[in-house]
Amino acid sequence: MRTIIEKVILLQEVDIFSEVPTELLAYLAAVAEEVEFESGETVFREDESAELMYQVVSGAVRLHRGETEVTIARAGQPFGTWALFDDERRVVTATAVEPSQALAIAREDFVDVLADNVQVTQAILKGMVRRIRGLGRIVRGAP
Amino acid sequence: MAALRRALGLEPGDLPRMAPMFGAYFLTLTAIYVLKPARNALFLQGEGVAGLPWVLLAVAGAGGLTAFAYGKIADRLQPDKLVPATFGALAVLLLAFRWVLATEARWALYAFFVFVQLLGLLTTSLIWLWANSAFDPREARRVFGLIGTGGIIGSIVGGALTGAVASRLGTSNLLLLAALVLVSVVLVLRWAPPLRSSFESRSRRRRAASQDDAGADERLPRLLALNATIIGLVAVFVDVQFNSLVEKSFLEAEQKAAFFGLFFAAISFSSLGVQLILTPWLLRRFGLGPALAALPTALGAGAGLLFAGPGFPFAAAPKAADGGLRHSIHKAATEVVFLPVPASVKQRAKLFIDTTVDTAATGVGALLVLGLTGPLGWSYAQLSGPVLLLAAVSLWTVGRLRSAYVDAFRRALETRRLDDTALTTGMNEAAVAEVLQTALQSSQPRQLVYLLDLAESVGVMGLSRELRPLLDHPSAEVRRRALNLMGHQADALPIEVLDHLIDHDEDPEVQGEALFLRLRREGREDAMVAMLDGSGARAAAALRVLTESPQPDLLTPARIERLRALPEARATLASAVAASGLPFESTLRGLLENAPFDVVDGAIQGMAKAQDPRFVPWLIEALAQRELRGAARRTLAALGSISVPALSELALDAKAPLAARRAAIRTLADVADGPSTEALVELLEDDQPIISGAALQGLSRVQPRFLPRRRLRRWLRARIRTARLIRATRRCLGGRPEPGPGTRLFQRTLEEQWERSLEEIFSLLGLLHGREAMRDAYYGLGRARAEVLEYLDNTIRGGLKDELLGLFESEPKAQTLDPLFEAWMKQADPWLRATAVYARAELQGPGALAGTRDLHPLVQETLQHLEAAS
Repeated sequence: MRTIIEKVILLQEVDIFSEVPTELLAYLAAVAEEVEFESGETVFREDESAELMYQVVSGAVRLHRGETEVTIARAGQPFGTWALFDDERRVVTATAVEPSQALAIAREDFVDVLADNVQVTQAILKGMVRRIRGLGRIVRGAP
Repeated sequence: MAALRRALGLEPGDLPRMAPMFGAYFLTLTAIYVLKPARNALFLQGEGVAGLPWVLLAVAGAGGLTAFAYGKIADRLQPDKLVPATFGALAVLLLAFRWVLATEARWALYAFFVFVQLLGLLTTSLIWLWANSAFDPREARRVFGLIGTGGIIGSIVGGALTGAVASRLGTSNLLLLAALVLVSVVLVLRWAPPLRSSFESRSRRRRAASQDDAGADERLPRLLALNATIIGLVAVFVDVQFNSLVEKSFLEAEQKAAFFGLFFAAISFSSLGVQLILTPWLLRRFGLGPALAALPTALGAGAGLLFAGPGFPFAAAPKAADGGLRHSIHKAATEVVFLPVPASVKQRAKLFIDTTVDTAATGVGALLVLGLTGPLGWSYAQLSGPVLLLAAVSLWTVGRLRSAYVDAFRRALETRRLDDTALTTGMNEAAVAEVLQTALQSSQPRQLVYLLDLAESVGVMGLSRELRPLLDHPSAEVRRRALNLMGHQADALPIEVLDHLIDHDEDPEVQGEALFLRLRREGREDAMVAMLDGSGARAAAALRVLTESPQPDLLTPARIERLRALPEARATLASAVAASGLPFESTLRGLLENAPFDVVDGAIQGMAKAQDPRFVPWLIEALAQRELRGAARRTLAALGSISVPALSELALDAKAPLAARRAAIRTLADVADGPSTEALVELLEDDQPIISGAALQGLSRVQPRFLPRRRLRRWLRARIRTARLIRATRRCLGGRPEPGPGTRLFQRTLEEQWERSLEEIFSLLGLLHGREAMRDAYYGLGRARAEVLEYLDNTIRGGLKDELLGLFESEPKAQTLDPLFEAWMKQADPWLRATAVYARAELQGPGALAGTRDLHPLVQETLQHLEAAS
């Protein structure tokens, strides 16, 4: 069982949380749950409703569409982040490729934290803008 | 070298920047004091003492003309070009005078006297202009005194050199020596510090000049010119008094010469002492005011002594004061005053004051002395009267100068902020009306709605002719907004038009709006009752009127029961019932049970009208519910002082939900009376930074008369201490190779805490010393740090100032980890304590936490986990 501090150390690596002050990140850490997956276990499937985002603590999770691999999320990397922000269904399937541990944050808890802490919302918006700009640069082919 | 730097009170990096300026000023004064004896000797030899008043008047006249012509040239050149060019030209002119003087022409003696006088003024002014452009205000405080010292040593060396070599070289050849020294100044200036960015580009400088001229307050240069004039006049009076008394006291020429020599040597040495010890100390410890006041105070005291005992030793007092302080402490302090003056204004003002004002004051002083001692028959001792008077005026000017100096910094910081954020819509009523008159013909509903919103927000009146056709517009939204806008103008809507809309408009909202306006215009009870008992839309309109002008007797239990069943009327019913002040338990509570959001929201809005304390407990409960929080907060604020006790209780309740506490704090700030301010101040010491931060933010909206200044100062000191602890810890952790994740988290937390501490410190300073100015200072810290610190130095007093400036200017002492972590464990913020505990275990091992106790759940969790892990 990880402490709040240890969860904050992990969550601060998630790009959209990078602008959230550590103290406020503790509120998110408080609602983040530790989950474990066996090797080969499915975390979620394509087209399922999305309610949770994950941050891999140890192990590795493969994100794929059918047999086509999109990426592999390893320790310190998040996946399924957009689940926190909209009601769209999952666009990939996530499968643990080795015994894995992750932190999971539910959208409902996330929204509760945002509603009660406007500074968290502001910081996450900054993080989102950074991510969108990064995507824009990739699309334009800029460094 | 480090010991020398510390002994001189300098910071690292000051010495190599200061040394060339010290050298340049030393050489400049050496040249001047080689030339002055040569000039005096040549003039007295040729023209005698009788010519002196006339040549002084010539100096005044020529000074004005030279300053005008030179000002034109100087305006086109940057100081780093202007200064070497001027020194080079003066050296060439000296060579020319060496040749002209050999012709023994009478006019040449007058011309040379005036030339040396102007050379002295111009060269010293230029060196200080360079120094002024190269050092920021904080550096200036440290180094200007020392640069001035260079000048004093130069004057001693110049005088001594002349005495030693004059007989061997011949008086005329001293000009060649001086020219050589002036050229060496140009060489030394090659190592002088570069000019600050404000002098970088000529075009930029010209653009800045026009902006500066347009916006700059000329108060500071004008006050400086006034003070220079007063001091110049006093100097003439004191000089005449001194010379007359020397003439009486010493009969023989040799005695006079011996006394002059000893006196000026003593004055130069005392001036050196003042410059080395008193000037830096006075400027650093007490700031500008006392440093500027030193000379007029000493002159006044000297004049008083001369009055009290007009014997010789007393007569020397004003002259000693003038000689000892004028070119040391007074000069250095005056140069500091120039620092906040915009660059372009500074260059012109400095040259004008140093040349024109000084020489004009000398000329006017000479004329006044001639007038007072001649036709009016005053004795020289009686000149002490005007000296005392002028010293008093100078002290008054010093007071104004100090406040103008602080204002200039405040304005400079403010302008920077406005430059960055200046955004204005330029929107006004006339502009909107003009746009509307043409745009209202548009058939685009969205465009029309936007324009109608704009017209309402700006408060445009008198457009009834253009608005009237919109009541038949196909869009219900356009009709409703046009109706609403016309409703603000009593004569714009005839009753028949409203009746027509009530009976024939298809949209219930337009009908309701028309009904609302109709009932507000003609408040007939029979009409009101008919509406209340009519359809849902009509009843809702009637209830809106009842919310604005409550009539509790119309809201009978039977009618309320009927209206509850009408979905369109439920929200306005709740609002009207609340506004009517009907018993909460028997009426409103029933209405609100399981009611939809709009009904509860309507009730909360109605409560604001009732001003009934019985609603307060329910509203306080509503603060805990996210969707009701905004409306409850506004209503509690509208209830004012009667809600403060309950709000304070909620805000101070550490177990209450954080969001509800923050909402309570915001509401307390909205009420902003004495008791709510007390609660906010108490909350400054809350363990939760979010709460203390919200309280601080809230206090910025409270009237200053309610603020407990002593408590705020105490809290400010505590925040400064925390900020110092952050700096010391950052320094201690900074050099460690490959810190672990816990240490990195603690370092990041410290960075965040540092930012927050600064914000809080400047917010508190804003409460004590003006919010706008301190906000500008806070935002200026990044780009105009030196100016901000100088502003704070002159705004804040006592020990608090030292603590605050020390936070920014003193390097934290190297410390070991143990005392730092012990200090962190005493901080109120549990997050900081928890991260500190985690980092300490990582850096020193879990054993270092033995004996650490903390009751906060977050810290306890961390401690228990670390103990288990070990």
